[in-house]
Amino acid sequence: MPSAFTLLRAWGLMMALTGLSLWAAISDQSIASTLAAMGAGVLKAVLILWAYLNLRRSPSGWKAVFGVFLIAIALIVLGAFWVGKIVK
Amino acid sequence: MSDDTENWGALSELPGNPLMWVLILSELMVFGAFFAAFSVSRVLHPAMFLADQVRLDRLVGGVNTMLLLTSGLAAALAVNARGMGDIRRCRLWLGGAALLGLGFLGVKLAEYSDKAAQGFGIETDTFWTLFYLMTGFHAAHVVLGLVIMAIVVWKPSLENVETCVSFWHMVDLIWVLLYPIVYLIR
Repeated sequence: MPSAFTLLRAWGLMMALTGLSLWAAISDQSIASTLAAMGAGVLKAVLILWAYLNLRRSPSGWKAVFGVFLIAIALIVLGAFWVGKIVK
Repeated sequence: MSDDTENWGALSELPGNPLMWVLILSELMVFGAFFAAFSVSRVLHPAMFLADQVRLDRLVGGVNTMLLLTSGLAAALAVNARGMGDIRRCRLWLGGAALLGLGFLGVKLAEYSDKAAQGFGIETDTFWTLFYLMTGFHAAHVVLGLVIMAIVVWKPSLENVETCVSFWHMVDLIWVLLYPIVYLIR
């Protein structure tokens, strides 16, 4: 089990990432803010898996499964976003 | 890990009951398909999606993200407390996590009623259909998580707490991906 300090640190980081992605989205709608929003989302998902679920201690096969899932989601979302920009 | 879960192979290496992880992995696949459908629909109907997305309040989504992340922290602390044998504190953390989950549902209901009052329903167009399907399906998981949490507060064995909290973190994980895809990226 992760220590209370580790959990609090992960929570603080995730709250900061939420604020950052919200600020980036409100301040402009450029490719940078899209990357920031999706990057922050994926990073928060990693922190939930690593700290909250403590999967950093799980076998590497499981890390790969969740890693592939998150990378696939990010690629699909960002890929579709860029295709949309090109088509427009 | 209890004796009856020893023959689950790789699944028994994860915290809680392996059967819950079958559900968690299935749900991740379902939401992954939702995210792909939403992204492809955005490419097919860019003007519609942009016009509808500006109706969403990004701050409301942000507040709900913070509520769920804080609820996840309380749930993780409940596992820690149970691991140290402190059942009373475990129950308190689970209660806190449940209250924050209820807060999330309250905000979501207020958002739904606001959108409905503006005339945006599930049949308005593709964007609103996907919005209500994705967030509604997620909210249904929050409700299920709260029911499981209530049962675990009553029977707080370490395996029960780990199983319940693993499901709750899956609900968290889905939301932190859903939030940028639906509310932020335009």
